[in-house]
Amino acid sequence: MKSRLLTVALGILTAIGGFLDAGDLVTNAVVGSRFGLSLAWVVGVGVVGICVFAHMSGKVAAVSGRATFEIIRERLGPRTAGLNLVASLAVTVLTLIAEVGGIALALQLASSVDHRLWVPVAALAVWLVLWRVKFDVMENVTGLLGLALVGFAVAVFLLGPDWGDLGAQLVPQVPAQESAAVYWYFAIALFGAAMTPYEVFFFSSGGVEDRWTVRDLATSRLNVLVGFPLGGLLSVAIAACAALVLLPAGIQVDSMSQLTLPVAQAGGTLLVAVVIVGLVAATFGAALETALSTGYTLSQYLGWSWGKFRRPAAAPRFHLAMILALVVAIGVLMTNVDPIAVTEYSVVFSAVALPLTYLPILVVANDPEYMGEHVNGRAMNVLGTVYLFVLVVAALAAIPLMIATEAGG
Amino acid sequence: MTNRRYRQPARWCVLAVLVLGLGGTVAACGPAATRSDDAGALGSVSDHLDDASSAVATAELAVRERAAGRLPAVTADVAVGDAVETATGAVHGIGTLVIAADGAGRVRDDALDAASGAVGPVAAARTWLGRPMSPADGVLRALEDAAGGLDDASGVVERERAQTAARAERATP
Amino acid sequence: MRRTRTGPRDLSREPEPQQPGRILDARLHLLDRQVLDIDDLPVCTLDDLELEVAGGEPADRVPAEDGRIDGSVPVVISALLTGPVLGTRVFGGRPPASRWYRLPWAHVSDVGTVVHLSVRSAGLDATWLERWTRDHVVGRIPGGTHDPEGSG
Repeated sequence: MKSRLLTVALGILTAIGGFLDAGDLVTNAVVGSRFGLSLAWVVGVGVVGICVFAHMSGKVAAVSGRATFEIIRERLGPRTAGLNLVASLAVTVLTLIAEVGGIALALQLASSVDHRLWVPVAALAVWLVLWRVKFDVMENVTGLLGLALVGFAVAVFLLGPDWGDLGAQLVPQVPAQESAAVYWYFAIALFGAAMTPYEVFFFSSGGVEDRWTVRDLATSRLNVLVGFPLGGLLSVAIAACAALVLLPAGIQVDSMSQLTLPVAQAGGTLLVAVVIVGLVAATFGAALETALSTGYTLSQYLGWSWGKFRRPAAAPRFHLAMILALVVAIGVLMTNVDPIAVTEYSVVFSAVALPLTYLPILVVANDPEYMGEHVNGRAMNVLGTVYLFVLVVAALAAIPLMIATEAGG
Repeated sequence: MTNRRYRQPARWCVLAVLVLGLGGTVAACGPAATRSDDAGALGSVSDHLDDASSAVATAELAVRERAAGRLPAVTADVAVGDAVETATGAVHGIGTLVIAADGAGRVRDDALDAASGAVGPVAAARTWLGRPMSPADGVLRALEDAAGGLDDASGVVERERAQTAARAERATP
Repeated sequence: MRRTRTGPRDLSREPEPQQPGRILDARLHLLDRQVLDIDDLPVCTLDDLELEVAGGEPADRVPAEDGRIDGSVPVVISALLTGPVLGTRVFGGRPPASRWYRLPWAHVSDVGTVVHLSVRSAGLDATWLERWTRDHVVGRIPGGTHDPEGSG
């Protein structure tokens, strides 16, 4: 009994720590420094959405033992699934680039060594973990260290804000100095950051890696339903830090170092150190997940042997795909592109690609051939359909808004 | 295979969407559109001045926290280093804009002076970080002056932009 | 959803005659499914099927997606196809028979949400690229044969 409780607690803690990635960190800070908390509701919408679909993809993996992209290929046929693969892979690699850049920026904060020098080191470290470390060890260590981001929530309390004032900011409204188009552009960015598509691939494939069965469903549901909302609260805490310190000072976030300034003001050197550990762990964990997701999607579409539970020699093309994805990430970051800009674009393109991954999950979760008696209930389907509608609207609006607002100019 | 009857219209639809998308992108992002007129260019100047102000404020906050011993030296160095990059980026951005009218050109030159003037204090803040235990007052004063200069320039740019836009409105009935 | 039958179609609206063996809807039950070997190791995705007119010559074998078999004659599946056939299913055309990777139907032991084979993938032509990558790239990197589930 005790060990079971421990497992559940560990699962929830890693879900909290693993919720945030470079996209969440940057987008929340940017949004907090420009819009206060008036966009915090989007995080709530995104968290409910990721709970619904993470649970659904986990359930599909646990019941059928098949991962997402195998099923997408089987249901949509090679042509449509192929287009889906190309789009998903492009967004996932873009996210991987953002995450590796994020690790480098976070390490720069701790060392003052230029982030361009950290990029190859970070990518090599990611690869070594993918190559050697056991799946659940990898998940738990990065998840638990990522919990250090609780430092942002602590900072909000230490800053001692006027809570009534802060609460009043939660009302959705367009601030006077921003236009409605920019407001909605950042709403979509925040939504894309909370619901990145790679998470669905990762959850379903991770369920197969962990050999989930129907018996594990209750645990996984608990992890998701408790862990993600708490992770979402951390996102809002980052936005709140930016809203309390950076917004009044007229600072617009365009680098990761600015995230540490409110924390320094609130908790001093020690809290900054804690938060930097959290930043490194969160981006590192997300880099692992995105790298794995590139391997998962490609291998599952083409029917290759895949999985971290196999020896690399037993899944050679899967490992080669991940190595190539990391090489691409290094190459792109070495062009001196700004990792923060890459992150900002990656969350918007995530929003564009979201319906592609979520629709097939919803379809398969209703397929009795795969799911048997575990097909979706009515409530789940209503929720899933509502979210699909939201996703499609966000995806269609993303690019026009990006052009109209010059990417949030 | 898919019903062949629907193939041809589907292709036309895809083509139409692509052409519209491309056209929209060129119209919205291309240099020929919004930014070519002076009002648009002054809008860009204003955006760059905001960036410079943000960089100055970042440096100021980092120096204050460092002086109070709340921010580790390496992290403060990175924050101010990033601020220097943003400030020089703003100078570069304002300096490379093309402006036609004389009045707007003068306003741009003033904005350029203000932005250039902000780079020095931000860079000085980074130098100060490397020299532990010297008082931060001088550095902070210089940063505040730079911020004031940027605010003034920003106000002038906004006024000129409003006038240019009004003039353009009158010219095209 | 396009779900046409590749097998004998009910052109005449009469019930299909009873035939020996199992009747599978090719698209619904076979195409694009994951193929696993006897040790549950993924082999490939089923990219296409090789069909043969029942009782016909081996020379009549064609890929199912080729479109030349129109459903007027009963056919049986002679092999599962993979490899370059995928490209032609996406972009059209037909690869020469020498480029097919055939998994003879005799190797198939079970058809469920996945297709199970009764042989090991190590000996199949279809997995040569996997073996090449293992022997020339991944296997040469130190630790390539380390078992992550083992000592950690």
